[in-house]
Amino acid sequence: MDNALPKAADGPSAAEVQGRTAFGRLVNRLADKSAALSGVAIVLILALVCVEVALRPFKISLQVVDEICGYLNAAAVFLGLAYTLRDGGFIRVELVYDRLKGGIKQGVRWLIVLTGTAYVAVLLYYTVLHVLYLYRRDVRAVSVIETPEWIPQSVAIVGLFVLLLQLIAYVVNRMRNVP
Amino acid sequence: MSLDILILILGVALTALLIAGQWMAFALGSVGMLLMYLSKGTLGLQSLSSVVWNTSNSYILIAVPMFLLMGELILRSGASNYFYRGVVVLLGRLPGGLLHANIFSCAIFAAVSGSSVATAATVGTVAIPEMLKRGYDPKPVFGSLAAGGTLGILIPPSIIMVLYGALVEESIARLFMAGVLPGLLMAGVFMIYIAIHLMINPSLAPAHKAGDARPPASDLLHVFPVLGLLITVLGGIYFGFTTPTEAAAIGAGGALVLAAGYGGLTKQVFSESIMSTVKTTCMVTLIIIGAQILSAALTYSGVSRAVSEWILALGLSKWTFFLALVVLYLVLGCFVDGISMIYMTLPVLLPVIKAFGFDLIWFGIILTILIELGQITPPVGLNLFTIHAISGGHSFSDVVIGSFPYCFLMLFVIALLCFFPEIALWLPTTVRG
Repeated sequence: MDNALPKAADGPSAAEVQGRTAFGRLVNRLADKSAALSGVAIVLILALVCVEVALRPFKISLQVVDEICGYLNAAAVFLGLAYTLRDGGFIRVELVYDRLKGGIKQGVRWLIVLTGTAYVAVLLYYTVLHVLYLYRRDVRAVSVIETPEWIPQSVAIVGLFVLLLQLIAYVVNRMRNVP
Repeated sequence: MSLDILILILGVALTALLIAGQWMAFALGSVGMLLMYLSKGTLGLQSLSSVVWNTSNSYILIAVPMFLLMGELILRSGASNYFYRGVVVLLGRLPGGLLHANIFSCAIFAAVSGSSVATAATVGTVAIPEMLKRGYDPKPVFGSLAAGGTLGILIPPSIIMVLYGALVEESIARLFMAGVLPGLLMAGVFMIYIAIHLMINPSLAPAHKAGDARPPASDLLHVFPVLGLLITVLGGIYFGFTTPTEAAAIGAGGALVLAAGYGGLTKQVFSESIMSTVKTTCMVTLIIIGAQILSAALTYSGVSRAVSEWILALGLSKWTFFLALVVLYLVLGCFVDGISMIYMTLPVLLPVIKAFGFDLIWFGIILTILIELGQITPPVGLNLFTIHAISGGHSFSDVVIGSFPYCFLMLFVIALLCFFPEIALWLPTTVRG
């Protein structure tokens, strides 16, 4: 939870370095666009929950706030992943990593990015399988509006896919902008 | 594959990835995935999608981005600086003067922001130049800020408690209530320590001079908006008007109003607050997803049960086990962040903790204090880094030395809580029965 820290602005940002290749620019655009949607989801949660609470004294409930806000929270999380990764928002044990130099550091970066890519690829694969299952069986939420479950869960696919592209962008860029 | 080999692979892979600097979330998740595959093949991996979805689509965890947003808005709009000025008027006259203002502002502001690092950074940015200019010795200044910042995860609302409560399935409202008295006690212990320290060694703080420019007494009014917001948020939860999630959203809404009231709610402040919330929420949630994958893998493969049974078979007494836990978390806290610490250890240790008959609410408070401690112990103490970063060129060891006594004060409070568990449990028992 340390990104509220004042950061020294030295050198080009991670996004700028990544933007030096065409693929990097594409990923930048996708990461920024989806992160903006993620921000919108947060604002919507804020608005919906506040409205629900404000209506309570009048014994009115929107009925769907819990459900919709759950979906919005998931959207906020998945759509922000690539942006968070690119801008160094994920934490790690820096003790050794920050002291590494030269070839060893480059090797460690490959290890980090390749294991990360494999992880996200497997997650994405099984999420896609699951969403296809939900779609074919027409699985619906147990709620007033009976949302078809594949719709909100598809957002996870989008987010994980952009995250995967971000990791591939590190490979394309030969690890130049790995935080 | 035999359990021993699985545990060996788990230990080696996790340690190697963490030391190499793999992002926490990815390290936990990928090792979990490997373990699932090794023990149950692709069948084990089928459960991944539900773990991923159920973690992010959680009504309880919505409280996390909302509390974060509340803190971000107050921090970035400058409302927190006004608050600090108010506290200076309130407490500046005590022995140790502004050092108390640091602890008090940190305690309240941290409670509002829920982030130790943001608190230490915010109060520190205002306090450090001011206090060094007035002639305070730097070490106690740094110590009070680094330690004061950690109070935020103990004094509710606390994101760590939301995450702990969600994991062990205890009421978050009760956890929040249980944190109040220990939090105030801790702040009190810190302030008494400062007063004694300065009575023994008065040269650490400048003496009051009659001609000193005093801040206007009207600054005191600035204490109330932030304090009021905190009371609204907590009052809603304690008296059962709102769920913690709703209270968090009301807090964020209130912070918007407060920021606007102080004239600090620009478009830039708003969008930066939102995007910073997005980042932290993603970071926290992906760690939880990774840890849940690991935890599911530990359960499927039988590692969880094997380790729990092994610990129980050691025949430790209740309090020897507790002591071992404290040591474990102290060591982990030197390297790993609080959220990963909770989610890495509890899936294995929770059955044992329950078997020994510890109250889970009480244990949550102890765990929170241990996490606080981890933030001010070198080599990886987030608050130490934060204060060092804004210390204006002082050495890292100044910050470490200044913070060191507070580690013992925290252990002292843990000891008090062991002897008098009512400090934590009285309020939740009294309010909700």
